[in-house]
Amino acid sequence: MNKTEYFKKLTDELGHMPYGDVKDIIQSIEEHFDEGINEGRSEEEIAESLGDPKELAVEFKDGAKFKQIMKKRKMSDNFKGPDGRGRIFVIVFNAFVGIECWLLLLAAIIAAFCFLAADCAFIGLIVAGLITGTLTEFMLPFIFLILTLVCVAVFLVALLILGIKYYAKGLKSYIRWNKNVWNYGLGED
Amino acid sequence: MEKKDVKLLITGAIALFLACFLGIITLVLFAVKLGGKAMEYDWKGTFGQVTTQVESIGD
Repeated sequence: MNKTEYFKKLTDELGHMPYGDVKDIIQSIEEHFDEGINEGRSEEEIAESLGDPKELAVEFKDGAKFKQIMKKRKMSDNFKGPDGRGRIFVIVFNAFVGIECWLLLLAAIIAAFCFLAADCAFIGLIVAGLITGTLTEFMLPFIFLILTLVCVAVFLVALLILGIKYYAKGLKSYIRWNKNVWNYGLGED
Repeated sequence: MEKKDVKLLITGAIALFLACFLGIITLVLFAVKLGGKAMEYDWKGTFGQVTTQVESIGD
């Protein structure tokens, strides 16, 4: 497979990715081809070293950068098997730090959910009180209290959306990092 | 961080600022209202009644 064929297959596989990302990927692979050709390698050899375009596209879709993929390939080529230290590190780190931190963050998200529910319930109660006329004597302060609680609810919703999104992202990359340390060790050699 | 997230973050920050601002106004309004109520309340009468009751127990 030459350079043109490789690019065609890769762009077909990357089809659903944003245009800007595809452009960056193509540019980095083109640079890789140029470097290889300058070193005297043929287009076919370089394409073969890059591997199946479908597998490469999957890695790009997972959010990996070209340099990371090449580093990983180099690591797996020279890899002689895990020495055990990485696995012990993963177990100890997760038992005493990792899992606790993620659970604490999860508890914070659940607490924010409960706080939001309580906030909405309180707004409902005050509105009901104002409509039925039980709180008419303190009408103005209660109207301001409702406005305050609405602002708190907006803040909590924004916090929860961002919190859940980045929690999921962070957890995903944390698991990937754990897998990497488990399979390839701590990476000092 | 995406542009959408930045917008959401700014919205949250504005909401938090407004919540603090309105919260202070709410507290002041409640203090004024309750203060007015306390001023109107017949403290003398209430305590006078209690004093009489205590005195009658002593007798």
